[in-house]
Amino acid sequence: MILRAANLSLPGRLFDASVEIGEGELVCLVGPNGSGKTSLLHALAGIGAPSGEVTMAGVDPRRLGPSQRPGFLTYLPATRDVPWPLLARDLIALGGGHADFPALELATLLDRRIDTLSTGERSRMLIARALAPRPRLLLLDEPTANLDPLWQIRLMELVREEIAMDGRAALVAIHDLDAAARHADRILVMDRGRIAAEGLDGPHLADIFGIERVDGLWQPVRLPADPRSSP
Amino acid sequence: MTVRTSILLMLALGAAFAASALLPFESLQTLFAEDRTLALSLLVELRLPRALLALAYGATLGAAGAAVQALFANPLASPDLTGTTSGAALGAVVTAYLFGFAAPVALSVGSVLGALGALGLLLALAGPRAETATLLLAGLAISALAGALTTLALALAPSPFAFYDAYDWLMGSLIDRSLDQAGFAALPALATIALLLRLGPALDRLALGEEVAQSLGNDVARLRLQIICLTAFGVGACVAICGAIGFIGLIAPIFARRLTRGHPGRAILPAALIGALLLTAADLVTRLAPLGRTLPIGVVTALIGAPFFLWLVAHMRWRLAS
Repeated sequence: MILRAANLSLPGRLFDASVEIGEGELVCLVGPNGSGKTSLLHALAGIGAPSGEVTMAGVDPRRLGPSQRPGFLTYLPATRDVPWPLLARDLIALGGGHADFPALELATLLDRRIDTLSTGERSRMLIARALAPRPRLLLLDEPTANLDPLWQIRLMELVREEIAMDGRAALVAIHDLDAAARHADRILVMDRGRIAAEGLDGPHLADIFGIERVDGLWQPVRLPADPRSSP
Repeated sequence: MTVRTSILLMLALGAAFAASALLPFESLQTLFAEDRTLALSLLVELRLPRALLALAYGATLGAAGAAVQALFANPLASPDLTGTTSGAALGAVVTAYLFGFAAPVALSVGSVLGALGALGLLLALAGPRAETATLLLAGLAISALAGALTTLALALAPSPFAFYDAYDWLMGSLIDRSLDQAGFAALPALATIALLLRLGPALDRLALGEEVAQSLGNDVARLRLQIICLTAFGVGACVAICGAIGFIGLIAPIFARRLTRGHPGRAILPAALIGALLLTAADLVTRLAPLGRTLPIGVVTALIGAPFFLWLVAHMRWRLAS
């Protein structure tokens, strides 16, 4: 086990969530808007004031200071806004690592200011910032947002390669159910601040998301036709 | 900041300090020839406190400006535009009525409390990561309120002398302060800058965004409280002795960040040096400008700073539009 978290709560947003993540595991977190995916990532990363316990290698990483914490976990927020116009290279250095990810093709972007990059370029740069300290656990909120289809696949494959080294792991919040099914070892489904189910097979999907698979495409769940309204 | 730029900055600062203590030179030379003791006491009791105050106040404004800009993630935040100096001035004027202008400890405490109140109000009004418009509006409102209350206090002055004392002091002045008074500003200033420097790395990480900074192990709420208390303490102590001086806290950090590749936290030290340099230079202008009398230093910094501020606003608008 890389991480054990029990009884994580944030008043009104996350209720009593418990998670265990094993070495080398890529776990995807899915759920409707407002179901608590980001809150769970926050609770694990020590953002805000969550209650509950988190243990990694015998310590609570949320008690570690800036010199040690990035070795345990890093967090990529869903927003791609950086409040201060730093050079891309400096942004990665401030996160506590080096940008040696050939797969992300950053070389020509490193000496540009982060606010002059396109949204997709900025996304790749911020992902590099989160990967760079080579943490045991990656907490990624919508890492594929703003990326084109090719980059979405490349990125998830890079995450897979990264965590395959030295027994690391990733917890990835993602909206795209097909991407989750394709890349994850396990899928946790969140609903109304709780971890409601595991996996995408079963009747819970229609209840939680209000969608179902019809002829290979996701469709809104149709209520059974009312016999009185039919001609 | 490279070693070469730091050495150049220190040399410029040393030259400015020497110039500020020795110029105008002819009068000092004549006096030395006539009466050595008098000349020495003039140097120690008049010129030295003034040069020291310019150094300490300028450095505090520069460092505090850099820290506040980093905290609010906004290059337009500064102790004067956010109402901190007005709050400090109000605190000092109210205290002065109670204890007189010759009570530096009470004056400093009143001034620091005023600055703390203004910064607390700003945080409550504008929020921790304020948009430029919200930040400036809140700062404007606080400055206006503190200004109105200061004017009210002046209108209720117990005597015309008290009124003139307060008015003179409000214009911002480094003149006729004793070495003791200079110490009352310089020691808190030094402590503030030293403590702010220790927060530099955390402020740099805050530039990645508040959530990321927290996930990297920074206690952002505590950092915010530390910056606010330190800024109020340093600026308040200087305002208590010299009155409100504007624009240095806005300009110095902007130049300083050009030396730190835009890092807001690393810019605290160069901002302190540049602030000290700017205020010393402004003080030299007040003395050497051929107007037949000494200009109030607050007027000089405003005359130089206001056009720069206008340029900055136009520049930001242009950048947002493009």
